[in-house]
Amino acid sequence: MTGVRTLWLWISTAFRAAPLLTAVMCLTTVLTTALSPITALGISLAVEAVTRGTSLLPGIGLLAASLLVTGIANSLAGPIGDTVDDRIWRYVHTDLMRLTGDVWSIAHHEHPELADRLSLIERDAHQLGGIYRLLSIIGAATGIVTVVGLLVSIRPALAGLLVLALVPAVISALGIHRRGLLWKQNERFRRLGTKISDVLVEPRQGVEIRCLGMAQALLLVAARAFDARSRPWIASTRKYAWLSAAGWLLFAAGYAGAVVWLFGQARDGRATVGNVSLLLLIGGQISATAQAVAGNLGMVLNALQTFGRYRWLRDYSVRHTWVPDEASPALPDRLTEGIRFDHVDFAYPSAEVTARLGDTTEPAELSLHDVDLLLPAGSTVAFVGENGAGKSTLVKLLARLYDPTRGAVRIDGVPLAEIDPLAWRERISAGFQDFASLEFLTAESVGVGDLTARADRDRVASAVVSGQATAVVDRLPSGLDTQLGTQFDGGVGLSGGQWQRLALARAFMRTNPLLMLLDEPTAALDPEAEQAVYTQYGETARALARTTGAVTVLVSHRFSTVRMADLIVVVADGRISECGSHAELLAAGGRYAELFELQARAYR
Amino acid sequence: MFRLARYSFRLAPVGTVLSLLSAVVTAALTVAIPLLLGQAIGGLPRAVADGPGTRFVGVVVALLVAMLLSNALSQVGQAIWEAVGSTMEKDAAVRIGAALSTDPDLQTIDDPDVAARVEKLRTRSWEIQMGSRMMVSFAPQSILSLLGSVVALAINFHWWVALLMLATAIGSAERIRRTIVAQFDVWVGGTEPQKHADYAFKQAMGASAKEVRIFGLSRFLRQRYWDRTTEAFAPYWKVRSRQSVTNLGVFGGRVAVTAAAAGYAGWEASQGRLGLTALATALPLILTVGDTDVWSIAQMQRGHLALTWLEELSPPDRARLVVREPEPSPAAVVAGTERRRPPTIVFDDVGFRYPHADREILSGLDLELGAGTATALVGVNGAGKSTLVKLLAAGYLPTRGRITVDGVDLATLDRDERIAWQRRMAPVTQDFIRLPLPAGDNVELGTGLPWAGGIDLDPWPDTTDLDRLAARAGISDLVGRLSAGWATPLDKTLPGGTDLSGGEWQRIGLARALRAVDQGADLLVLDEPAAALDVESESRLVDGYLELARHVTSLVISHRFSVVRPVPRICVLEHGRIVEQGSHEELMQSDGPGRYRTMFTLQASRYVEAAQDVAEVSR
Repeated sequence: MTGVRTLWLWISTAFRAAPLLTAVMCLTTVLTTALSPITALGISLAVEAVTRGTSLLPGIGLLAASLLVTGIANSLAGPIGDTVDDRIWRYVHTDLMRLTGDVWSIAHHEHPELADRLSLIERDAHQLGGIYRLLSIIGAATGIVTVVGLLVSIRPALAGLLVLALVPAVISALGIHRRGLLWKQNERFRRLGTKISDVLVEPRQGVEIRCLGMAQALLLVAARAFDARSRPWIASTRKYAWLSAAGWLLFAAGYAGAVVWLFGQARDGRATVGNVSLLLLIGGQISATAQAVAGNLGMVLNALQTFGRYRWLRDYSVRHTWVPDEASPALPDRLTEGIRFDHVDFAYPSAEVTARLGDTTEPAELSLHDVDLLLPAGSTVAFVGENGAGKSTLVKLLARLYDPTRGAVRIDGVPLAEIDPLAWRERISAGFQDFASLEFLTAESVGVGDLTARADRDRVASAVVSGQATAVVDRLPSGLDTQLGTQFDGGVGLSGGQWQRLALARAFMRTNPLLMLLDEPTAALDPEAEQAVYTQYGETARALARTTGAVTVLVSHRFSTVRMADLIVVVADGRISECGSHAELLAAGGRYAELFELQARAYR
Repeated sequence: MFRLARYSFRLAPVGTVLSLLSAVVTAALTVAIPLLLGQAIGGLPRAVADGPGTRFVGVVVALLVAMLLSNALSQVGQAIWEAVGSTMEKDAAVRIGAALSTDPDLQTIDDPDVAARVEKLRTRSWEIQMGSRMMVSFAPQSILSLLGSVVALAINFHWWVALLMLATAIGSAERIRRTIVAQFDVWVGGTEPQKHADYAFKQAMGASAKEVRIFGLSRFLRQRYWDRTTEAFAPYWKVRSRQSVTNLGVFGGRVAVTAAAAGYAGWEASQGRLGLTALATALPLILTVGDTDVWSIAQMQRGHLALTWLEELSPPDRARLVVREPEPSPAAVVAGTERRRPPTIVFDDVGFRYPHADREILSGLDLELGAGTATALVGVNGAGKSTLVKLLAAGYLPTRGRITVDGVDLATLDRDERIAWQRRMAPVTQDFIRLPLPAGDNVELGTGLPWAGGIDLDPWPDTTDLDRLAARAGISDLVGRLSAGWATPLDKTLPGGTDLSGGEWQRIGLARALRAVDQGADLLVLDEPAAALDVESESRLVDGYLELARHVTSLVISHRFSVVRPVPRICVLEHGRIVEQGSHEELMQSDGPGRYRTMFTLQASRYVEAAQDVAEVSR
């Protein structure tokens, strides 16, 4: 059943991507593969005509006709096939982007098994094309019919030869399939090897690599990783090659037996010379047909794997894509109560899977335990705590990059899990420490922070000011029209700090968010620049708080920044340990006061 | 073009020779089978009538054996090739890595042109594999079988028919080659629009997972991908639809020649000028010649180009040295013997500009790092702090002035001495390395030697030394939290792997540097060591750092005053030179421009205000 669905996906993909050209390719493929055995028949007819002294025309005519049709089909197949492949490539890639990008959560990016599948789908995307290649199976089937027909015309029992020839063919098809599975199993080794060689060529890490002298060790690790992947692959290739070679030996014995047997019959006058010569001529065709079947079978099995993964991704995406629903609650224009963590537990999906795949039945390790917290409308809230305490996890739940494992995040009482994630995200903005550097035109790289306004130069320019990125943009050769990224023609490379300022500017593109998330977006800036960002942002935040009741969440290690918040939440081991204003927390003399004292001491 | 064969031979001599051998035998069989077939069929009427002679039996047996061999070889040849080809992917990845990591100089790795070339090579290294396969398998096989069939045809039929067919075969091969060559760039995604398209694809597929969702970029990126891809492909689609028409002429012509040759053979046979044996030989040969495509030349050209890039980046004579067991480095040896004095480093009127840059990053910089003393360096973003670290590591040499270590000018060191010097330095930089390897390796590689050096191992190496180090570096809690302790891969996409936060990575990086110091490194450089750390770790770090710094020469770079303040000597870097230096107290009291005092006071004032808030509440 799944096989049929997968097959259907294969066919529909090709016809959606390039309907007309795919049809043409189907025709040429069937013609070329089906006609190939006919040429053997042509030769045999001609030979027989010579021995009998009859007209040569049918034999030679058949030969010439099949050659011509094949030739014409082949000459079209090359260029048209390439174009079909390109179109399917474009279609499938766009579809992959849709499937991956439309999933509202980012869980699938952090999941080893899912990452394996995704990277395999990407790698095999070219295989997703070429449905017409499937039709070479029809060709191969036609080939079988022709060969069987010819064999039966000599003696029905000879059809058994083809069965014999299919033995090695099936063995090698199984080999292809088996290797496809091995490839998937060991994909992680290739990723490991590639990532390590990425580390070695990264300029920013050049000093550390050299001083610690780790290049040699890393090269060895990478080489071993590649070996770990290819060793079982080669072993399997060898095994199946020998097996199928043995299969061919079996066929050869059967074929030799058949030739001797038929020759004996001819000697007794029960078979003609033509019968024997046809059997000799057709020997090559039998094995060619069997090999074509093997090749096709292997190809189909591989494509079924690839398409199976593709189909899996589609199912996954459908399950995890938000379907707009009449009943789903609308988002308020302004917040009145605020945002509440309602007894939230959270475990990262990767942790869940590790627990599930392992033999242990222990529950996944929780990153958040029973977090119960209100971020009041119109307030600025700071999360503080040690690294790994769960601050960023809280931020991710607020952006709905994940859903809580238990409990709910409520927006004015409405669970966030019931709100359309797209609508929610239109009303939030965010800056992160590890934000991506988008190598577009500078204006686009900033402007995508609010797609509706990305062409509005004034908005982009003012976001650049808010993100303290004016100096960065001023230094670019064509200002906002500069291409970023050295991989592109005329592209400019930026330093980490410069990228961070652009990412901040991007976060400030949206002008009326209900929620602003700032997760250490200024870690690479010096304290003066950070202060400038927050001072400037503070005014906007207050204005927003008045009009829409917007909440600002910030994560920072600098208490000079944290202090500005209305509410400070101390997170420790996935729980809220303290909560209050700066003054209250200091007066309480708890963990916060202790941490603050540690930092402030340096300035006395 | 033979470079591909040489390359393949160097990587896998036995496999390459076997592969070539199998290609030659296959070609020989392709020619022999029609010849034997002709002989067998030609001899058949007499054999049936008079009984099989020795010659006839010999021919039939040879034919059957040839058929078997040809079938079996098609399988075995493939297996032989897989073994050769799979070493090439590894070789390319490892050589690229080696080319940019084994030279003590940083100029190559920092060069954007080299980066661009590496990127291009990465995406096209499979072409080397493909081209080599053509070179040692497909090409010899198809060329030999074409030539062999042509010769056989010339002998058994007419030489001019054979030559005519050879000419059409060459003509169509050249036609295919040109078509392929003309599409080089677009096939490998090398055009500018394709680069933009690929970039958009990567972002949507996970590189910018958070942005895609927060800012709703999925559709935007898709549109971008579609438009740029179309822009890249559309011209070729137009060319190809024209091509299919001209192809009809070229290939149609070739088929017509083949069919005409077959027809001519038939006609001659019907006229009694061609015997049964000759006809039964000629027809299969004509089909073989008409069917053999020598299209692999273009693939070889592409592979050859990619291989040229690889060899330019990493010359073949150096490639052999690439993968070997790492050896204990000079610094490690020294640690085992007597501890020598930590180095004194003097920057003497140093000026530096990057190659091809027009601006000096450092100019007139004087700085002394005394043996076994600690120095702190402060300065705003972009003041040249990281460049100073690169010069200190002899990754670059100053363009003006000199840097001496215990009186020896770094510019006078040869390659090995430079490597040895680098091994004496233990850096923690802002962009600390994040290895997708077990936590144990991430720390132990500070010695230049791996701990486990892989994933999925069983059993894992001993952890006693690591545990002891973790206690000193203050990361025992962090390692304890990992699901498999030291064996946990620090990469979420690996089985059982986990990802660390920026601050956690930084603590791993610090432990790694500590490990290097244990092994004998005696210059510790901490470049923004606390940028991603929380308050408590930062404070622990400062204390621990001072403890460490007692034995080695050290330099700490930070814009956090809590880190810098306890260091006895603080230097302020501005406009590429040291503008102030002294202890915290001295710098706070100085009458001069007081850059340090200004910056410190600005930050301190916020904490003073903050502390006053409490006073008000508690009143």
